[in-house]
Amino acid sequence: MELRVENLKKTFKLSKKQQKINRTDLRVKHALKGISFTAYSGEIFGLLGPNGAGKTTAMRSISTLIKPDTGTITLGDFDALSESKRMRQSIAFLTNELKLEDYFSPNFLFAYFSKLYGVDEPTMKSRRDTLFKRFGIDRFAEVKVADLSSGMKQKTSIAMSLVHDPDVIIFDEPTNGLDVLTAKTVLDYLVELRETGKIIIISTHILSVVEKIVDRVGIIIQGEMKILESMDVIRRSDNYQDLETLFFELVEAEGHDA
Amino acid sequence: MRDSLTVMSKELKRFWIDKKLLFTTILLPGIMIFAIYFIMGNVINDQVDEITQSTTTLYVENLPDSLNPLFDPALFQISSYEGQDPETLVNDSEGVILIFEAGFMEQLDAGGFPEVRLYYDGSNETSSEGGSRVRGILDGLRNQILAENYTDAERLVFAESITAYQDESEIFATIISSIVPLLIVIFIFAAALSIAPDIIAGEKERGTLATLLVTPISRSAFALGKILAITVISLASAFSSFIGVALSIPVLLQLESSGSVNVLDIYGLDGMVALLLVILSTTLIIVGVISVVSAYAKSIKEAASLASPLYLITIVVSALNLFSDGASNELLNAIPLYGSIQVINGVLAQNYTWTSVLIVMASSLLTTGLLAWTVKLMLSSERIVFQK
Repeated sequence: MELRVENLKKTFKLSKKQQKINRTDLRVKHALKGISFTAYSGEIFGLLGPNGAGKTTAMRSISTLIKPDTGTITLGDFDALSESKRMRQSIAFLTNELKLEDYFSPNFLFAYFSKLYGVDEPTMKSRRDTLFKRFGIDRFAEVKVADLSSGMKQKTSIAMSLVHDPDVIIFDEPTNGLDVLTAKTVLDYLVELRETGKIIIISTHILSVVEKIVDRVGIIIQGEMKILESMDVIRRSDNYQDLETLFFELVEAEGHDA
Repeated sequence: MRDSLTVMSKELKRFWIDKKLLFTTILLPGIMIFAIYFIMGNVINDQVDEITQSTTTLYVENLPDSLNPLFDPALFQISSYEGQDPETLVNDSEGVILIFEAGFMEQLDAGGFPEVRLYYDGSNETSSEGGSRVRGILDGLRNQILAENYTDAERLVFAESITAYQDESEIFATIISSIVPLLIVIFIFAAALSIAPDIIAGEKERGTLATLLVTPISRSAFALGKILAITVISLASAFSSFIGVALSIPVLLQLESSGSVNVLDIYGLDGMVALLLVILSTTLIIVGVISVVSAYAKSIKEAASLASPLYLITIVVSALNLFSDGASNELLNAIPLYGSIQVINGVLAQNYTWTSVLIVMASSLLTTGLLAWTVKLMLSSERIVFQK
């Protein structure tokens, strides 16, 4: 299976306030200017770029939270844009802006999200036991989210996003704000998921994470895909010194603040 | 002091640059109070005109022919009293009974002290107005006789026995129908306003909305689920408040038999069912409106702020009913909220039809459907869901 993104374009109307913030007279912002890439089953695809480059817009488009102006997104044999419900059934999307309700416990939330995804009770219990044990959530399964540490919350969020055993996993900054041990747990789990044939897309500013687990990388700058290459090629190529140098060279060439 | 002024000027600047807050806090109250008093003044005048220009049904016994011209045909429709139970007659007809002692004029001429008896329903505006008119005429008659025949200005001339029936249930119904629609709407609105912003705008503020929107659940199902949850909680809260009001009104009004005033006896089961259905319909509309506002707002605070003007408008619409006993044209009941309040008022004043209840329910369900659809559209809007 593969996730194919082709010629994705997205513009946003800018309010006067946004024009002021962006120091522009333009009434629209071209967040994506026709990006294309394919993510394959059994690989981790890294989406890199400075703030405002268009990574979040691309991930929101893939997860059907927003509609691109033009372009296609296909997963296997179906069109994700016209079959948004099926797409949502097939993906996990986790970003920093997606939060869990403070009033509820991980146990309750897992059952709640399972119902929303149409997961039956026995399957839900089996997945809950596996994921909770894997992330150590079983120790605080009945504690309200409000009383959890940020690491516990992140682990819980990851578990919630996987209740329906999705084919595609999109994580935006999966280790952001986590301590070293928790970050390692999360990254190890992503590697495990890759082994099971999942399509994994991560976006991160931590280039060491990319170096360590990502198979192929796409660097977006100002809405354009500047580099789309496998990490092996980047490591071996004479054209690129290393990922970090490459990234900063591209950013500076575009006059963008990293 | 200088530091205090610095802090104060910063707070005033924050208030001044927030145009929505400025409008809802400074301008809107003045506009709304003017609107309320302007509308209430007109409504009161219309109602007073209506009562003072109405014709009183006057049941008379032994009315001397010479006194007949005192009763202007434009104001009195005279019928003969045939010995019915006075209380039942004035209650049913909203009229007045005036009984002169046999040979009234002859007794007066002979220097006697004849009696005249007056009966009216003090708890009914029309009958009460008729009673006042008759008393005015009797006073005029007394003064005329005094001026013509006597030098003793304190002389009573004739005995006047006045009975003004006070039906406690009717008083209860009149007062309850005047103020309860307003209170019900305030309670429902307050309840919905206390939870809807948290349930919808709070999801945005906390960042949990997008988490739910990436699940396969449809936006319509999501919007409906939210609205139903707010409706149930608002109804429970409004019901609790309503029970409190219903129990306290007889005590508040100090009705003599407050302990025996039974709401079910007054309105009957069908009246209570009608009331429940209309309250439910009203709740749906109010919840729908606040849900739309909450879906639009970025935060709980903004939702509460945006809903304030709607709260005031709702109170104005409800206040109009303080002086009404149900819409005269049933089709007006199709106007969302206005119709609901009119029919609540009508049910409580025991002046409603099931057609009006059904019109309100149909109109409310349609309006709520449209509002739920609007919430669904708003939750599908990238601009609204992701606005910061």
